Amino acid sequence: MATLNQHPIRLNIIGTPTVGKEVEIRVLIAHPMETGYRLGVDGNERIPKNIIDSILIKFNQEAIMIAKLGTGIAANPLISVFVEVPEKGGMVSVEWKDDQGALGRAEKMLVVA
Amino acid sequence: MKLFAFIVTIFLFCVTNSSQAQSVRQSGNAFLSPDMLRQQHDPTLNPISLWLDQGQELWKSQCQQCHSSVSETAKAVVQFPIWKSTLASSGKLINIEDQIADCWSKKSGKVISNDATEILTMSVFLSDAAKGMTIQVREPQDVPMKNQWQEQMNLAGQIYVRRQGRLNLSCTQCHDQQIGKNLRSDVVSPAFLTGFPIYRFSWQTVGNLDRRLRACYSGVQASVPSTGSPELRALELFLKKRSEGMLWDGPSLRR
Repeated sequence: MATLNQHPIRLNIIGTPTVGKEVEIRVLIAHPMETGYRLGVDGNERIPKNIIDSILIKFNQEAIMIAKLGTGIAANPLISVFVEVPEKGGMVSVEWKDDQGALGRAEKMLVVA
Repeated sequence: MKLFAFIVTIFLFCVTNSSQAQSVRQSGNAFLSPDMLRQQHDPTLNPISLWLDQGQELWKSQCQQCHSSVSETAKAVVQFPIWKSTLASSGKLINIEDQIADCWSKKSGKVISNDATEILTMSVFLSDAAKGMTIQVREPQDVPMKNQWQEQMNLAGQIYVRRQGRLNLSCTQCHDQQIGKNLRSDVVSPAFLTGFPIYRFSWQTVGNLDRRLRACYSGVQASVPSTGSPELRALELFLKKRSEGMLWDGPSLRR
């Protein structure tokens, strides 16, 4: 039986990377973002809380955004940040961690056009 | 026979009535807000793309050895549900998820439910590959099978116009007669089956047509048929037949 990657992640760079201009970094993560308030199928037990509690976006190993998400964020969150493109471009990377300890990461090279 | 004529009359009435309201048959996408349409068409914004990534992996690891071409396999999406007869029974309607689950079970030797994540993911992947194909339901050629198939169509035609639930509403009252008006905070779209499975924001996940239809039953406070019940398959056939000739939209975003 195939094992599905439970949390696929899409990291995209939107816009043409030109030095000194901004590009958008978009991150889409597959995650149920379980609030801990919902009841299970039997109606008695609550489904345990499991949300992505932190997302770290780095650009050339330097943190450019740390997000602390709460239960108000919908499933499969979409996060986007704008960065100014430096002369040599660089590596964009995303790391996240959820309440149950699952980790995810993705990286993409930002090449100056 | 009288009953059949009656249903046909009602069916024609529905079709002509809706065509008076709108000269062309419109897919549900025509009723989305510009923002949602933009999100649907941009894979970097659309959460369905995450399912497509998984589907791609599954296709490569599980299906590719036998089904070499994705686009050939995806043709089934616009042809199902089909009548399938087995040795054990005279036959039944099966939809694309049933078919995938059946194939999966045969391959892995384990029975898998047709709303399991893997099946749904595969269905999303195939549905995406079928984008732009023309809907053309595959009808059985064999006469006794064709009769049974027609019986299911008639049954679904009856369900479609039957008032039910505590709200005492039939499908046709909203999905033919109130198209374009608001229901809660959403716009009522005509019942054309052009883009399933859907990612529905209120579910926060992808769901198949069974789930959507069950939500309709529960919305009018009727007793909800179980997943995969013959009633839902018949309705799916009716809706697909109704959408014949329209283009397949692929997996869609809905509120």
